Amino acid sequence: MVIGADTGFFVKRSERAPRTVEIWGDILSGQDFLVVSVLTIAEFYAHQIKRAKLAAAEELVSEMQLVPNISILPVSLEIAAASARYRRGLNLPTVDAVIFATFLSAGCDLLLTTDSIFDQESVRNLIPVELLV
Amino acid sequence: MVATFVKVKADENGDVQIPTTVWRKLGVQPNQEVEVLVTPLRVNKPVTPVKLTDEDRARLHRIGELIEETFAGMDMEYVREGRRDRWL
Repeated sequence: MVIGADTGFFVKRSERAPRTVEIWGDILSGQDFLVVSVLTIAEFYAHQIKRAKLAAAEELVSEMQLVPNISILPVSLEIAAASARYRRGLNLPTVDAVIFATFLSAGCDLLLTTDSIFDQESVRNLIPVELLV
Repeated sequence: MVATFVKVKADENGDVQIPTTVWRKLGVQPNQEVEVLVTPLRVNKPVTPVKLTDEDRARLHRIGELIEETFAGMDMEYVREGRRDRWL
């Protein structure tokens, strides 16, 4: 399964939330693939700059680029164009719309998030959404 | 020396070749041996799960440790506020 992981997934994984640990095991066993937007990386780096721990963040992102079953996707022209439609059509804020368009363009089977803005029928009609608690 | 951006594609063995079109920029002659320092800017991977090697699994374990170390305590309210800022 190809899973779109929003920023909240990683925060929950850092807390060892059972669902995220389960998915991590599935990535290890080659069953799941994690798609991450570069916007999550931007949010993550902002957090690390505040903590003055950017080096560890850069190591993490570097390792994520080298391992199979995880992909950090940039905002392409196709994604930018699609995000504008989702922003208008689904009333999503720009950042959420870009992340959503990224997951759809990658063909994700599931969106994992802690953000309730994705928990709306019009979004779920396009991709199953699982809210992490 | 001014840096030259070269986009390459690995073959089935993971080997890459520097295109002849940039030889002159790099000052490389045919059959000349050169040392290249490589830093991948972005690796395009197929978006499909694959069976991992032991090296990959070790790397993924390290990623898990780094996530626990770095994402802990991240202020999601700050993230949400940032996302709700109206721009454009």
